[in-house]
Amino acid sequence: MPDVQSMVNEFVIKLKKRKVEGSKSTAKLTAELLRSFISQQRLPHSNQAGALIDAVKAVGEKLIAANPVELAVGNVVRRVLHIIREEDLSLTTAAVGGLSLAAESDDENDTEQDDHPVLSATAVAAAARNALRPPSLQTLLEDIPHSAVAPPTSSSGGDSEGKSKSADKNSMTRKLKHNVIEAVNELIQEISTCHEQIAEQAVEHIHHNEVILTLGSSRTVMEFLCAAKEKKRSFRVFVAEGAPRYQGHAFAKELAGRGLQTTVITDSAVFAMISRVNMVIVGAHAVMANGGVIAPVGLNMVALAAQRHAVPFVVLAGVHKLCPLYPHNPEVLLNELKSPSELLDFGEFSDCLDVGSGTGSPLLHVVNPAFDYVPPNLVNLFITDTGGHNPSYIYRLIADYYSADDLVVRRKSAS
Amino acid sequence: MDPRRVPRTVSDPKVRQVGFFAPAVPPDRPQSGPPDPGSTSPPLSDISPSSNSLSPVMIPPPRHLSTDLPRNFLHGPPLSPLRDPRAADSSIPVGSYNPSEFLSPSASTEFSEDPLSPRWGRRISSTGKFATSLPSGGIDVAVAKQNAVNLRRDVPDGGANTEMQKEKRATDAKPSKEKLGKAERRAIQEAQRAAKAAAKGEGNRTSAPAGSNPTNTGKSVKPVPQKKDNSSVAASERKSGDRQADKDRKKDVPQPRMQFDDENRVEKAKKRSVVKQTEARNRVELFRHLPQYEHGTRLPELEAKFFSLSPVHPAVFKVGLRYLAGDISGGNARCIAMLQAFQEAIKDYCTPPEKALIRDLTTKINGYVSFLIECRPLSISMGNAIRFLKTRVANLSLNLSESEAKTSLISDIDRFIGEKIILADKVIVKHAVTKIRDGDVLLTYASSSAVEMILEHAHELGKQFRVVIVDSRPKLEGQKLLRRLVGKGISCTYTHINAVSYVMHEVTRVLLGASSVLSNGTVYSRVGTACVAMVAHQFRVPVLICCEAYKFHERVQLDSICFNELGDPDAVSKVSGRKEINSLDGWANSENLRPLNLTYDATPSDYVSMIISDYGMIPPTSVPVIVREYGREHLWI
Amino acid sequence: MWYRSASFILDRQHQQQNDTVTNPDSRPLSPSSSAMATENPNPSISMYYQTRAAHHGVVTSDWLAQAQAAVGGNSDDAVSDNCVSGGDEECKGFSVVDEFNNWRKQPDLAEAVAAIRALASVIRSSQATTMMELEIELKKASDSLKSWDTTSISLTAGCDLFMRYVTRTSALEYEDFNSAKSRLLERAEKFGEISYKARRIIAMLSQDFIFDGCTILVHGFSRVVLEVLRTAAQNKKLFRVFCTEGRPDRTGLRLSNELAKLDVPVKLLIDSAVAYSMDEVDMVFVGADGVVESGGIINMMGTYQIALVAKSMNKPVYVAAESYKFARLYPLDQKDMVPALRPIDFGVPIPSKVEVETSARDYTPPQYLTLLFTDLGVLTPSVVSDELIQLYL
Repeated sequence: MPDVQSMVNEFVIKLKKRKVEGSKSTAKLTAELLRSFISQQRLPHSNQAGALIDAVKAVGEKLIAANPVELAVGNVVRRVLHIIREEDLSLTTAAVGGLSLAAESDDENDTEQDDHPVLSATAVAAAARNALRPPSLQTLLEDIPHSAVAPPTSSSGGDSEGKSKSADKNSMTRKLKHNVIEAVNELIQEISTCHEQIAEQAVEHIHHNEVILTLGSSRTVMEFLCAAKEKKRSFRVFVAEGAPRYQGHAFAKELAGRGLQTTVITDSAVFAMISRVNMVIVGAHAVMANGGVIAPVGLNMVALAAQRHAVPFVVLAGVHKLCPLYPHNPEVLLNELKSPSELLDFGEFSDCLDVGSGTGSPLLHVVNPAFDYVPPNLVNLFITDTGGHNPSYIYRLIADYYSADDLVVRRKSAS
Repeated sequence: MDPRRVPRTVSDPKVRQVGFFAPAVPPDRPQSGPPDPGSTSPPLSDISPSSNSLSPVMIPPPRHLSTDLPRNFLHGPPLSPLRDPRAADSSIPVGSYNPSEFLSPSASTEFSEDPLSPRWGRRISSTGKFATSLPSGGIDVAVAKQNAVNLRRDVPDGGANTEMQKEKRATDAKPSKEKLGKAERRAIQEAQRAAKAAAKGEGNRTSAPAGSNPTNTGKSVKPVPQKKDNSSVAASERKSGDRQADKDRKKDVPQPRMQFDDENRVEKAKKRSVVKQTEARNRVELFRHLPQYEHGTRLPELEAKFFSLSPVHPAVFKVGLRYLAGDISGGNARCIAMLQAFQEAIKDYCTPPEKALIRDLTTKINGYVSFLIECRPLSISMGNAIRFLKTRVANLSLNLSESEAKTSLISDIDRFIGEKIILADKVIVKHAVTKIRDGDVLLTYASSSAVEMILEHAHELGKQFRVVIVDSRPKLEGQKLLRRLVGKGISCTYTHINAVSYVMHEVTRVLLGASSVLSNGTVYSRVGTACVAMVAHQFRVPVLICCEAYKFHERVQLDSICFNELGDPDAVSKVSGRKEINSLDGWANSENLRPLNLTYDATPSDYVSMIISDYGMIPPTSVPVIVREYGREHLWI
Repeated sequence: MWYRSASFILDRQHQQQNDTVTNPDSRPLSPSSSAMATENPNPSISMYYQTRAAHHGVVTSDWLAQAQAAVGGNSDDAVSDNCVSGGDEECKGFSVVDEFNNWRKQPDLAEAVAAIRALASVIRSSQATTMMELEIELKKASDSLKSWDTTSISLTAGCDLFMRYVTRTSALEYEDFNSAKSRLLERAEKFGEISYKARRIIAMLSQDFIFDGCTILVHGFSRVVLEVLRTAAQNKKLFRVFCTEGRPDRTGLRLSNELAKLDVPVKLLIDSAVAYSMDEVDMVFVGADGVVESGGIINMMGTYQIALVAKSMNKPVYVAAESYKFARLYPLDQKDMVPALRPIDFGVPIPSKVEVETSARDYTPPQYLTLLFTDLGVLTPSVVSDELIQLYL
């Protein structure tokens, strides 16, 4: 335990110092950390899932607080919580049905690899499904027919475990943890391979002689473009440099190195160039539940320009970037201000920095936000590892990957 | 080209006979079509402009005096299109600069360059009139007068234009060649011409009296083809950037700019150029039509030439070098620097023996202008200023002594600077300040002198406001503005263009400068302006464009691609103050990598709430009105 | 299950002592705790209008006069007047509509919830002996309820939902009738309970979206919106509200009164001043009479134009609507729905030749709405169809 605690603390510090950047690596590290945390967690005999969830929540809260704008942390925590609930349910379901415990019963969850049809009482299965689903009209209406037979397994803590048949208890105890860890492994796997899955779809979207614009740097976009290039598509890429980090430079160089015709433009030339562009393809920092995108700064401008010229604005995002939160005031609340030194040389402007207006407040302010919020109506398409989606459909993906209870938890922990 | 030319020439002969009036040809041109042939027409145009001032243009003409006609005829040596090319060829080795050559050739070149310009329309029509009138003699006197007036105007303008383009043209322009050309043309065309002339004459007549239908005449005339011809011959000059000067005449149809993807022309232009330029490597395909040279290769070389380059006045040379080095930037600053250099040059000018001041000086100025263009493409405002100057030169009374003429020109330039720039800015400031309320947050982009004056003045008036300065690479002009404003005690927020969506929430007004405002309301300005205006529009923040009226132009443009200026690509790859960002070093060695440094972009008019000019606060839809009502005034201050 | 999922917010709150919203006042009120004055339905006005008047405290002089006249009036009269197709139920001595009107007298109780409770009591008092019989009986009852006011979307939707609820419980088929009936009853009551709690859930969900210093435009009077704003005020949020007047019922006046009681700064606008004021507004909050399949809403007249103005000025439009207002309707335009008519008092006599537009509602297409706050969670308009499809297909 202590070493896990220290790992958590170390990661928290890293997050706080922004030593970990990029949603993918953050997501992966978070998932790995949670995996080792879970594996070291000792579970009580009763209400295992509840205990595990509480423990994970506690850690997750810390991690989220360490860098509230890195939504990937919260996403992964929620995913893990969801996994725990799911595993718990499937175990319970299986136990109730007197079946072997092997299967994950979720027919709704794309994440899980194999959907073994659950042969147990359909009622129980339905109950299990509903437990993980966010509230809907349907769930309002569907009730567990035999509450006496099947304890409300999913209710908030998963206290069902205790009520399940005692014969299975020991095996289930181990089973739960084991299953959860396995599922988390799959999650990690999924995070690290999301590029490839997204890139596979490149050919469907890029054609010959297209002109594609992107801004800044994104590994996903790189793989995507290169995948199309490998399929013998010839096209040109405009790369806006993405001030103030100028990651577009390195990005362009790498693209050129891979044989793509690449043109570097300044960010200010985006509007000028967009009229000759066929498609804008960008990466995202996070995708919100309403289909809005938290993206590197500057992309709102690009999206507006694209909309003006009816150029499709395509966002590539791994599923780990899906965030179940609805953005309110995202420009401010989900943003982060970086150091002014990226914009102004302190040495040059040191004299200005001292000048006060007489009221004591300095005359010079420098604003250097890290992110932009792109509202859903500016996005034409999301390409995730599960395929292409409209912004209006993102809510459904989120319903698949997260459970409603965790949203609330997250809200609490985030605040 | 030849075939096309032929028809034109055929129609023209009468005119030519009268004077240089190749212009007669122009009427045909429209028919002949835009293609290359213009060679004949160019010479004509030079001459013809004056004569041509046919009906389309004619209507406005009342201002001009008819006296010009004779001049025009005299001046405009009708050059055959054929000649021009030849001349150009011959001249090429020499370099087009020789003043002596200028007159006729230059004129021709100009026209050629301005194929679409209204002038042509006028010219053509006028020529048509002439043709008709001469043969038939039935044209109304009044019309003729008007034409003459127009011709005058046109001529000076044409001269200016020609001068600009002259480099190439000069070579072509040789008078002797003209004769040949004419002869040829006549021979070929005479048969055709009779018919055409009749038809045209009618058309011209009708159009001329109708004067009010400038567009029609212009169209019918199709000056364009001629110009093209000319341009094709001589034209390839780089005017592409700043042709506007040529427009002086009838801007209705601005000339097409030189397209640098036309190898022929580029080749020719190169031969004439003073400055040796190396084409940048790894050009962006989309911008082949714009000139792009390797930065840094020109400056040292030019500096070395400082003492050896005779055709360019040292003051002009100095300004050119400063353009090249980037010391002077900003539309007003560049324009003022240029005009002041011209003042110097005029002061030191003395008419060579056996030459007319008007024509020789025009030629000279054309030479300077083309030199400046080589240093950096002209801005539209500079084009307008040059057009003004040439108009003044062309309209100098013949009775003036040389010194009087010089004095008059110098004071004209002073007046232009004073009224059109300095005073205009004051008026703009006065208007704009009324739109600033206490508590406002004003956003501006990069650095505009007019906006800076507005902010300072508002601050002096004690208004309480905050300024957001949005900046972008590579020029980072906003930093200088920031420093100056903070120094004045104005509270500023500084950010880069990507964050404009972030800061726009708090902004209540956006104040932007402009390099030019085009007559479709498009604001042509520092690259990035369009982005800022777009975001402001999205956030429903009013966008105020501050722009002196002398920067208005009758050209139209829809995107930022067709016409632009390419900056130094190295400026993109190097980030000042951020040495760690060096991924693009050595980009030139990579086949697939090309940095692109655009200088301007075009802001669609629907993003613009208001344009503040010296004519007051106007909506962008009224720009063509100002151009129409006051455009000529610039030339006639 | 449903208890957990439908009201997850409240449950969280109870179980975890969630600090964000813990407030004794915020607990759901029991129906009987309401202190609002009771109103009598007025028989002589169109049902829809009457309903709104009763629920929204319409204060037209016309209404006042009639209300006074109706004091002490027998609600049964109203029922018999209006109930065209009570049919069998009435013969059996039980009237759904009667029951419904009884429930409806509770001012805080939504029409749909009243209908659901009325239908539940149909089950309770039913003498049917088979499932099929019970279903038929219920169907009749809900039809009579629906026909009682064909213009009320939430009433129709509530009845449909309830019917769906009954017919969907396939597991019931395997049980004997009595236990099935009792289960049905149990669930019907839970359903009523949830519907009742919906407003609280919505209020809590929307709290994140109200930030300090914001200006909120509301249109007309909506109990959900009032609940949202009340909760925000109780959470010590600092905000300002613009209320439209809400002609001709002037329902906005009542809302502004309520808000003033909460010490929320309020500014009243006449309905035509919306565009003028919109640039000061940070968000628009409206309720809904019904949420339709497309994700658009049908709401009090004027909502559409407010949404249009907000859209053109890039302001978010939030809709607060309980899930029982989701209806399987799909209007294509304004005229493509059952009009709800109401009298309009212009204050001066209107010549008979002059036509008066008396529609009380308009349809706002989904592209003008930003988010819907429902007891199912925060939804984008596209989710509405998803929910309806899952439920009805």
